[in-house]
Amino acid sequence: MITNKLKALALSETGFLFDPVTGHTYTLNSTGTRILDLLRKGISEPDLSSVIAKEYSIGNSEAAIDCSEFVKTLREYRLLD
Amino acid sequence: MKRKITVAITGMNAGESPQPGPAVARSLREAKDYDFTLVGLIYDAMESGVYYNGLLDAAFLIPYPSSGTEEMFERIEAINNKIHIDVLIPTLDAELSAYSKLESRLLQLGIKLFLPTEDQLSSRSKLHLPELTRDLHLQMPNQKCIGSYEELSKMFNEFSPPVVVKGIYYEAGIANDYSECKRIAGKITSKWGWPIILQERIVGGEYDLAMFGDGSGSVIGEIAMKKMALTEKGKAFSGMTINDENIYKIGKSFVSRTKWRGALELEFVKETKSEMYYLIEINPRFPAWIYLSSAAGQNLALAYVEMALGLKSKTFDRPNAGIFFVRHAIDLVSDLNRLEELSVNSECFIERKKYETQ
Repeated sequence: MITNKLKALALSETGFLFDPVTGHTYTLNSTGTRILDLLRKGISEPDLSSVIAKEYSIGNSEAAIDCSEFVKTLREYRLLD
Repeated sequence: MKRKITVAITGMNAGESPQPGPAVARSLREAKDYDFTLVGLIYDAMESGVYYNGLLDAAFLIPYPSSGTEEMFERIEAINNKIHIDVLIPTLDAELSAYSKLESRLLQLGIKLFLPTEDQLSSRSKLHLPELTRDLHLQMPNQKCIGSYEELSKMFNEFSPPVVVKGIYYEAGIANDYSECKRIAGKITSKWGWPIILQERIVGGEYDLAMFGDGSGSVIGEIAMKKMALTEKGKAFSGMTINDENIYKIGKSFVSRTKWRGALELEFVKETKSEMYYLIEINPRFPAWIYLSSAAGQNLALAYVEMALGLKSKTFDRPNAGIFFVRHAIDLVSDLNRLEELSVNSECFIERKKYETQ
């Protein structure tokens, strides 16, 4: 589900992320940029890892761990509800 | 043809601790609907805004507010006889009360101001802030007003360090223990005297909201920014516009309930843990970073001029988030003429050169 918080974030193709509510900026690597982009397109968290596994030619379990850690970090920074 | 308006502005020094005057003048210089003549009212011939080519058309030395309202009035009257001032914008805390008292007399000279009332000025002082925030249901850190070292030693134990030690007008520091608190208090009181304020320290990011109230409870314009870098004195050295409904709601409620008249800056700390905004300070004037408002499409300095002249100022749309400023200190160079004229004659008229935007 795309939340208002996700919709409000400004994410550039280069991975520069701006939260207009707090004024904080972040720099994401290409994988982080892709994961956040997918979340903003409405891909659910459980489906993320299979998309990432396919795109980056890695195993499902490895992708699941990476995605889960990244989503946890987004929550820690209050970028995801 | 554009309407010609002469505006006098105080606080023209943009040095280590920048005053708002140059940012106000810069905003007006870029307003294209009027032909502005801008006059700096300065306390010292070395106020830097005078040497920023193209910013001012004239500058006049004026007496410090401590010399009394009568002396200030007489000097402004004399200046007004040389160059008629349509609108005057005071930008410094220490002079606002005097100008508020002089507003009706200045109006008789044809000089218009748009300032908070004396009651509004008094209610926002650091000493009265707790009552005001309580009435308006705003969050602010716990604070105690301290009148002596004896009281300081008693009250310090009521706070969990670190604690913020503030002068009632200027200066502040953070104390981690009582000896540090005493040292900071000594430094502040040696310059400004007692009382001082002990304030709970809220951990979080610093945010500012600049607004302009029409005096009847409506907001003409508002701009919120996150301070991204601070100077040693805690002044914003860079900032980014944000779009957080919560901070704007607080500002709107403040202006609506106080019927605030004129410029206003609300300073907040947003507590990291709770994400709540705590009001730290209210400044009844434009902040030094006010040029960001014009850059973001809300020329609040222009709103002041239009409201003072009784022209209906348009209500601005909220600015976009993600517009930022960073201060850049450069050396302004001038020959001796301007300094000489100011030092000898207390005034100088400046040849209009191309406005240097950088």
